[in-house]
Amino acid sequence: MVLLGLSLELVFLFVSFGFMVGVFFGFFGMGGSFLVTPALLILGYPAPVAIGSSMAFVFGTAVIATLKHHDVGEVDYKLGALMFVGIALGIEAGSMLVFFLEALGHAEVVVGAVYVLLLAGIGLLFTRSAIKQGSDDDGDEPVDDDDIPEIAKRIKSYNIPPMVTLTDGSKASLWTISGVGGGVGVVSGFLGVGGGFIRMPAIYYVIGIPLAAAVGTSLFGALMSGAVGAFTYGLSGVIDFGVVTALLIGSALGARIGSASTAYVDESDVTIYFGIMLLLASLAVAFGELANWLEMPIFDTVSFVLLIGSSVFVTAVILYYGIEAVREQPRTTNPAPTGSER
Amino acid sequence: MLEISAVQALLIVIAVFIEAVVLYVGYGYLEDQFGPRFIRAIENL
Repeated sequence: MVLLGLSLELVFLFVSFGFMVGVFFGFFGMGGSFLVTPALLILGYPAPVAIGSSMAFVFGTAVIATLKHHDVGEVDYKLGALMFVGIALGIEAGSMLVFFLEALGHAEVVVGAVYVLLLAGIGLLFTRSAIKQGSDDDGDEPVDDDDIPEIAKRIKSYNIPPMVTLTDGSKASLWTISGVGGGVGVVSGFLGVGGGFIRMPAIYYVIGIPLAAAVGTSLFGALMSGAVGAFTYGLSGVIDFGVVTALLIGSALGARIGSASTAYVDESDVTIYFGIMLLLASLAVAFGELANWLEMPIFDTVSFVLLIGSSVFVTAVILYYGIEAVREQPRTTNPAPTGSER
Repeated sequence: MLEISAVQALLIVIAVFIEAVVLYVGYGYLEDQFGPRFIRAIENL
């Protein structure tokens, strides 16, 4: 039986995988889209199809997340709109690079290799930060959500015209905003990711707006980069709409459950598992590349099991901690609204 | 690769947008209907 142009097994797989990505998105505030492209690559989709479909998925997921943040007024639309030109140009450049590499026959290898490094790097950062957090739990200073880091204050002190006034009343150089947009756009277009793991810190540390607004605005940026990316790749007819639909059905539900879990689960309890999952995902992509180079299908199986297995494990950990927390600390009021992702 | 027109590509983007909004609203409705009951069921496990 065929549904959405896919076999039932694949529909089930993509809905389940989308659900897991949605849980990560809702819980950690990151799309988890950087897991989707490798998964599609491992399943044998050509790089442009994997990246194009991932971009469309990013767009859909970002629409859902932005709607949630819009409800609590945490989106700086003016800043998001100003970043748009940089994002669009960056995505165009990134996608041109992918098609250029595809023409040379190296797209899968290069995209795969960059993924291995990226996932390993982010995984190490998360794991290290979780271990550090665990060792000096008592020494942490509470973070003021309205404060901005020192480096952002220093960057803001350089008045390079034209300066623009942001929604919170602060000023930033249009060059800084465009530079952040362009840099994130290149990464988005090249890898088929929303780029939230780069964009959110860049908005916070470089442009310098408060953390909560940085998260919401970053998601709005993901919406725009996803829209531009989906359109760019859509022009080449490489978006598999069935795959995108199945992933979105799962992720929209997962994101609600993931964000609801943040009301009950301490993120630091789970961060280390997320870091380890990213490291395993990096290993999975590396095995996928080895399978192609050495023509040994067994590595494809290992790769697939590692990617799906680690995602299932971390999702189960989040749900387990969530259920345990609800059971141990019964709430007297209604459950927290699920529109507050971090 | 299949080259398609800008209008068709735009339609794909619009279709994904509509799909996302429908899922957001649909799951939101389900959450309003069953969310509190679901949490109470877990509390009573």
